[in-house]
Amino acid sequence: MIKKMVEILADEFEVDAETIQPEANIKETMHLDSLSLVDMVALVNEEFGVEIKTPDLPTIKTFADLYDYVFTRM
Amino acid sequence: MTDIPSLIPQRPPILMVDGYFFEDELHCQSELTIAADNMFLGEDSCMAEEGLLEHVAQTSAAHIGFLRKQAGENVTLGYIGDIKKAVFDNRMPTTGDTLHTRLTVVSQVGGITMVSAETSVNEHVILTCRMKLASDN
Repeated sequence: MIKKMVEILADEFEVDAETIQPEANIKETMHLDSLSLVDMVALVNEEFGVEIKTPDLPTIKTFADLYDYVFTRM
Repeated sequence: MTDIPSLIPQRPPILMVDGYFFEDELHCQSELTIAADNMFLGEDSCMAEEGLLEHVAQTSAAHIGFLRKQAGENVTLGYIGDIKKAVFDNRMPTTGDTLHTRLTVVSQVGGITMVSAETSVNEHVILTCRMKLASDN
C-alpha cells in the first residue's frame, strides 16, 4: 500500500520516488504550496477513499504521518 | 434557482451565469444562455474557450457563495488558481445556445477549492476540466 502511494505521489508531483521517505517533510519533498496541497488531498481521496480534513492537515508533516492518517481510515 | 448577483460579485457584461441550481454541498448545476452581445464571442459568433472557462469559474464561485450565504457569511471574491485537464469540443457554442454545467467539488483546503466541471449544450459535452479557485476569507 505504501509503495502504491509513493508511486502515485511521485508521478503526480513529478519527484523522484526515492526522495519520498517516511520521515521526509511532505511539503518540502514535493514542493507543495497552498494550491498544490489541494491536489494531494484530492489524490488521496480519489485513490484511497480517505478525505483529509482541513483541520487535520497541520498534523500531517511527514510521509509517515500521511501513511498513518490514510491507512487507519481506510 | 437562486438570484445570481447575490452569490457572485460579477455584473454584466462580465456575468457568465444566469441560472444556479444547488444540489448538495458537493454538487450544483448552472446555465447560461449566450446573448448576442456576450463579450466572449469571437468574430465567427462562437464563444472563445476563455468564455467557457469563465463560465465554469463563475459557477464555482456561485456555489461557494451559496454555501457561504447559507453559513451566514459574506460572499467574497474568488480567483482562478489553476486549470487542469481542460478538454474542449471542436464545436464551440454560439449566440442563443444555452450552456449547462454540472459541477462537483473534488476537494477543499482552507480557501482553495478544487472542482471538476462538465459543460454541455443540448446534452452534447463541449468542455470538461478541473479548476482550482482561491477565495478571499
